[in-house]
Amino acid sequence: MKKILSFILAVCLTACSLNTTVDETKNEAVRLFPDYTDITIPYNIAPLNFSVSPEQGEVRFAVLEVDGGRWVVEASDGQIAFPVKKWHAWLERAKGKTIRVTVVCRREDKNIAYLPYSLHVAAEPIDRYIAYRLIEPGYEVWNRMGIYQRDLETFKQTPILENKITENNCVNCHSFCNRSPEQYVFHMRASFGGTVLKNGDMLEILDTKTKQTLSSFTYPYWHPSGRFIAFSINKTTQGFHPTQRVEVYDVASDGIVYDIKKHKILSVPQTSSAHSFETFPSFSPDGKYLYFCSAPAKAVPDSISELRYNLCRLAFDAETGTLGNNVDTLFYADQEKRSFSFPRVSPDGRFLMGTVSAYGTFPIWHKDADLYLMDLQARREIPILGVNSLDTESYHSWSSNGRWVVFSSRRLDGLYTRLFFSYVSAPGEMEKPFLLPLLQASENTSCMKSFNIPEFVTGKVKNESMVIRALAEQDRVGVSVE
Amino acid sequence: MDFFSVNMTIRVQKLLFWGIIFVVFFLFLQGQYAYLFYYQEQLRMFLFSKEYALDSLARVGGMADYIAGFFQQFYGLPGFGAVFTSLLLVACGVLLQKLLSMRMSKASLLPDVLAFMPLCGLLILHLDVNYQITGTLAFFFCLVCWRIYIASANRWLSFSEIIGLTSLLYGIGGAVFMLFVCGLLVYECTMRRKYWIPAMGLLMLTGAFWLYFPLTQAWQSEMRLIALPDAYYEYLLDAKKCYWAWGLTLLVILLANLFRNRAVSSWKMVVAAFLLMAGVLGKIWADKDSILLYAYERDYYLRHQQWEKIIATFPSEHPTVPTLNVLNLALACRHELGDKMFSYPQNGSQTLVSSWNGSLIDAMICSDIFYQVGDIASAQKFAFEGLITSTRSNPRLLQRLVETNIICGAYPVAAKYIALLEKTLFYKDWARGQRAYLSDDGVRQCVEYQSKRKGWHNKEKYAVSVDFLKTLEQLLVNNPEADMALQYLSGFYLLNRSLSKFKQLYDTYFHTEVWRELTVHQQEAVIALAQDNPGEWARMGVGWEVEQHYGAFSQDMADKHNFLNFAEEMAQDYGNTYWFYLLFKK
Repeated sequence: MKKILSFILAVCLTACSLNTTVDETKNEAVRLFPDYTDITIPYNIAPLNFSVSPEQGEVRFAVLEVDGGRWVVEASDGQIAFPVKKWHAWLERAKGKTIRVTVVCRREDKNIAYLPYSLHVAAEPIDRYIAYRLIEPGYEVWNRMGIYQRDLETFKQTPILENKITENNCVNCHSFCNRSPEQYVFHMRASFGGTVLKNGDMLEILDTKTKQTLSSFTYPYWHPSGRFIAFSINKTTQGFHPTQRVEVYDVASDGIVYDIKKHKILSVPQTSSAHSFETFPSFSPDGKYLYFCSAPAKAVPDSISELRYNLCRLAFDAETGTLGNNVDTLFYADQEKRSFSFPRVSPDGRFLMGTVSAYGTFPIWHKDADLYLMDLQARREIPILGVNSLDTESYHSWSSNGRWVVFSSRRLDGLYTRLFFSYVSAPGEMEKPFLLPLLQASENTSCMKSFNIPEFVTGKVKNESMVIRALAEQDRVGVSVE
Repeated sequence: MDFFSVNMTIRVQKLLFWGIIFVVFFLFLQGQYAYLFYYQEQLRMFLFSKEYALDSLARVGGMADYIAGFFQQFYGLPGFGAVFTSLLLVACGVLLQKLLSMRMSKASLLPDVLAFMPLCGLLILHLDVNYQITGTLAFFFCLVCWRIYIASANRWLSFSEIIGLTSLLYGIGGAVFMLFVCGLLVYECTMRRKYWIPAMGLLMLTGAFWLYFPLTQAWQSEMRLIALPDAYYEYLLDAKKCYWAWGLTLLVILLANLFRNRAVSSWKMVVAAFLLMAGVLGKIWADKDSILLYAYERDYYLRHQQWEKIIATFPSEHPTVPTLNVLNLALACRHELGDKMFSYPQNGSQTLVSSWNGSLIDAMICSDIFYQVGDIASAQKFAFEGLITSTRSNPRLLQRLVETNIICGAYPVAAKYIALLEKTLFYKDWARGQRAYLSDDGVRQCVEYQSKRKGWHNKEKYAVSVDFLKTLEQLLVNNPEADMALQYLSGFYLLNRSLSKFKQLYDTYFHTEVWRELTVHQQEAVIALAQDNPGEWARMGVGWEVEQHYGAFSQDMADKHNFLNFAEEMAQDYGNTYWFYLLFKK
């Protein structure tokens, strides 16, 4: 009886064991989804699971080789899914080195190995979390949305605040001070309207509308000291566009600096002119400069195709909370025939990344929108052709060590924004971007929301939505103009 | 066989009892609410995929919701909605009566009549599109859990069942765990079994845990959505009607104890049940919202492009704006708008296309109107907005998004939606067929898509604007063969009494390939414009019949203008003319 059982067991094991023989080697690149071929990745990233294009056969296994080591991963459910622990162990081992990956598919009763590709494992880690909003790429209406954080070392996504907690209101424009989970700001609109500000142990909800300003606070950016936040104040409207679906534009906008301690809007006439639209303020990492985008005011929507934003900066004195008077223009929109948005300086102050498009100020709807990298010292553009696509690239964020950038892109289908990462070397060379890791490749199809405003965060943000909800039911803290 | 005969077993009586209830429910639902079920089918999309299953089951109440979604997809089949609802309600009733029979006389129909009472509350909920059938499935799970608990002989085991079953119910059914807890509190209080006080204490503790724990985890912010039947209703609406079913259930548990030794004759129970049924169905019938019920019927015809049905069933006694919107679309699709528009109670251009009121049903109407007219950008917008409004997705609107994205050449987005629809049971074949059009060559093979694309974009001119009238005019120019835009544009001007705009349109396009001949109402409008030049009418495109008719009209205007009921008199013979609309319609 025992012998019979052993025999049966052996047969079963043989039947179940993976056939790793390769019958044919094809001189053809393997087509993966997501495309993780020949990229540079951080050693602490979650497994890069993938599926293979059906024309190339049914994926059977992948072989990873580095440093004399070999790891064969069997496919399941039509994809290669790496066990998390072993994946991290492998990447730790491969730090600073290149993993060679060979994918084998079954086609016409043969195991076919495609051309191997590389995964270069950078020595620099990526920040553990990113925060983003999930929202449909719609027109005016919203339903369920929330601000979420994703642990980049795993696939875990947890809410920071979901709008089901706050009566289905609109939550938007989240921003963190130096990527700290303890200092952040975001807005709520409709029910419980106000600006949520968390600063360490302090949590308050502001009413940012004043008689002297155009509207409530809009796009935020923290001063590295945590004392100030630069906001733009925008009057925004939208309409149809023949090819882009939607066109969103400002009919007026200004930049302001908000003093958190004093609850005051500092007087900044340099960025509040009626003759120009100022928007997208951001501070340099050393806090000495305020960057912003500025365009001569135009009648919109009629002249929208001529509305182009320069990139400018002003000196900022954190001691006195004052801006300098000399506007330094780093990007001349009319000369470049492009409009600048989202200036973000790298943590070492060496580079500035932005988004450029033919005109306007809401590039997510512009298919020609691309990332733009500037060497701040040389004041020249660094070409990053391999990073941009034929579709929209838009919002972006630097990791704390300045080696990684996360950005929004609609390159996959032209509508649903997804997040991509790219390595930036010390001299400013950007590597081929790769998609935020997915537990299942099919998640990209089933996900009916866009990933909006990705921001790196160095730690997990505590979910305080119930506290925020309770606070939102009380009176707001008012702000005033200095 | 005599129903009331002492030889008739109680089992057969119960079988007949519930069988009759099933039949009555089915006939009532199928007879009065058949279109409601068709409408409900499109309110969620059930996917046959591991990812969808895992996502659904991982949520609180996910099991009940998943099963509900599975069955709801079949509501598009004739009669299924009524059969399933009747079966589900009867199953709940049978299970509840078995529970009550454990306390009461088994040789009586009294438990059955009592068990029937909460079903009345559930039946009313099933007639409301804002109610999720998840709630009734969760209720069924609750009954099963009660059965397990009550049948448990070992008292110590039942203590662990309190924690286990309450937690299980929370996980698979959601808020119904609170009904379970409350029901057992009533039961324990009335039964007074051994250790009933600790049992009640444990029940309350477990219930309180599942009431507060989700708050601490920010899974929900409102207790009513955690532990009350509001969780199974559209969360932004008042859900008080949901409380009846739960309240009646707790009441009958109490009554079961009060009447436990009662033996009531079967015929009295049958009469009681009959009176209760008649009362409930009568009340439902009396309170029914005929306008809403017709809206579901109208939606069915609209979805299936049954224009003749829309026209034939138009409720002239309750003509709402959406109903007129759909009627006018039907007339236009049959190329009859320009001839028959004023045979119906039109009132301004809102009867052609009204502003969106934010509801899903209106979004679907708007999307259909704009699609048929050729304003693809607006059709896409309303389909998308409607999809966002649909919390559980919407296969009909996804189909529309496939169509509009194909027409606009956004093939990857269309492919995304197709991939989702391919995971459904009833839309996968349609979706697969659409893959043939995911290229410019493919679009050229489809007459409809080719025509709509031509209207949307021709010679670098896009028919896209926030101004619908501008879009209509561009559509005329881009694709003269498709006359929907012309019907709507001239309809707008006529309904708004903008004769000068109509004249402008006429001067620009009449006698061109865009506009070859006038419809009846357009001829009437031309006469209104050129009243003093009858000699020009024929050249301007007015036909002999309309001329004659105008002659009679102007004669009667002169003869009858002193009549007390002047307007009614004129309405009799000329109520379906543009002249009457111009002069008499306020």
